[in-house]
Amino acid sequence: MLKAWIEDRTGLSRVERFLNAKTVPQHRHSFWYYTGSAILLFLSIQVVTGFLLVFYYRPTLGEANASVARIMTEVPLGWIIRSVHSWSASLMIATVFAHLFGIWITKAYRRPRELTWMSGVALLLLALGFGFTGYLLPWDGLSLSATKVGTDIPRSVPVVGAWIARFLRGGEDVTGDTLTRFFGFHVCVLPFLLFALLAVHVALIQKHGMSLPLSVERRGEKVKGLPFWPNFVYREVRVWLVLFGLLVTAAVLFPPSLGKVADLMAPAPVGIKPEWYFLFLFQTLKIFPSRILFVDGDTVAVLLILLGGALFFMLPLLDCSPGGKRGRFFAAAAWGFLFYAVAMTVWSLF
Amino acid sequence: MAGISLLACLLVQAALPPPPAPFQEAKEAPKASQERAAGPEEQGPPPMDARESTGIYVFIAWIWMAILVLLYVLGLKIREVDRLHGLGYFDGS
Amino acid sequence: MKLKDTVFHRRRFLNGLLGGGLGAFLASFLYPVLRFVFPPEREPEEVVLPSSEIGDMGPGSVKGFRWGAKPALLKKGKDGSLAAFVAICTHLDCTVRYLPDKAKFHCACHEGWYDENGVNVAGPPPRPLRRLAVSLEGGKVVVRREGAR
Repeated sequence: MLKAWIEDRTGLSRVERFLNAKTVPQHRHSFWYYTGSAILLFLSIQVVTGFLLVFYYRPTLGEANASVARIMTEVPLGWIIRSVHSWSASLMIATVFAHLFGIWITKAYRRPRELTWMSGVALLLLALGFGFTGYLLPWDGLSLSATKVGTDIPRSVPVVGAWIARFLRGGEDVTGDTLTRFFGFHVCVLPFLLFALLAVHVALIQKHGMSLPLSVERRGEKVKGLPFWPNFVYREVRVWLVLFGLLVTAAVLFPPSLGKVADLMAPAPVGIKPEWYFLFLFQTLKIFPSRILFVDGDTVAVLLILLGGALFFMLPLLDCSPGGKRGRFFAAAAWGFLFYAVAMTVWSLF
Repeated sequence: MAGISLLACLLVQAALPPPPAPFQEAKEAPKASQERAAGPEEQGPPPMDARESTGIYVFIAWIWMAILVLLYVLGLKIREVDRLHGLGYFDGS
Repeated sequence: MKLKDTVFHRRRFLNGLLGGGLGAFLASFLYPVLRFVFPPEREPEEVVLPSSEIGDMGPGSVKGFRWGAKPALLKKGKDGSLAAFVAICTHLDCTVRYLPDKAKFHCACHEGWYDENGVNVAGPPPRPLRRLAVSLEGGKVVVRREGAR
């Protein structure tokens, strides 16, 4: 009866019928389809734990570190909430990378899904932005140094570099203003942008339906499809449960620590490095010599990275004949990029 | 039979006092005399006594047990809806 | 018909099992979240006031001090005895003040009045002011929860 009351006022059964009619193809590479909702799982956990942490966190120079210490030691189970937030951030970004990789090698970005890919790349950048801004918030020595380095890198971009750095830092240097600004980005600006873009991304996916991997499409065989609701969703819930279990286990057994409050005048601590998802970029910058011909080595590195990013963004347009020889090159490029990222990350650890 | 014993397990689990309680109580006691951030270079969560760390392992074991039960129930549910799909139950009204 | 019947009953049982199971699982995380969101009220065990602060108190005067996060008043009676009250009105939590000329506590929010022993005498306050135990120990004034030790 309640169902009828709601149906009369919202017409929600239309949604259920749509979700019934939406099918998810079943084939060898179907496991990639789970990565999208896994990202949403971790994102939801971030939002909830983020809400909880923001109840006690104080985003000012004088109190940031102390408020995180208070969350860790005084607030009941605060250390678990913080640990879950920290671990879920890493797992979410790892899942975004996996999602991206799966889309790339199955060429799910090909026509008509180019915009879905581009919005996805933008979402990746926002996710990395979340990670970067969140890293500063505990305001300990390591996060201050990482932010100094991270906001210095855009300076190498010619013409606009200094402006970008000043915009990010809220001034010439990293100060308390940077902290408050990063907090504003982390809890206000980035969430708003993320949810707006996510809505576009998800809407496009509903419009186009699930794509078939090129290899499967070319074989021309008839592919069975499962109704999204309830068949595929129940399978997704199983994946979520396992991921959730892994997250909580990691968070409880390996909670993050908190360094002493940042000293703006102190030298960079030993062993400074960014979060793992930036390590491959960090290492790339390190291998460039300080000068190449007449140009600053950093500038060359940053420009190359930006160029790579732009090519990455335009991948569906570049890979215009995915079935042909050129298409095979782009598929191989996915593996090449994976190898590069992993190798650089491992190298940076030594 | 399996379904009934499963239901019984779930009811018992739901009725059990939530595991975090044992180590939560103990944490309250040392708090009054705890120093904050002044001494150590790095600070982790407050040191736990044996009761608390056991509590943590109990909590994790409980979570995984619950997850395994839910995975099993979902498996049954998936078989059910797959069968219905095969019979054409979801193909329009 | 018969097949659909069986299907329907089994579905309902499984749905109940699944819903109940998921509900129990999620509810178990509700407890830690609630503990996080409602941290325990922490009052101090005791507050020590140096006697130098009390020394200049005349009879029938009060001195404010902090009882944890709450304002409190230490009152020196006309006979020199010390009493301490949590200076929070029992009506709607406004901070009260002491008027020595009237020998009464007054809450300006809704005209609540308490006598010099903190007993509510006029206006909306439903209960007397909360008292704290005061003792002199080694030249210091020690304030504790009433009934403690």
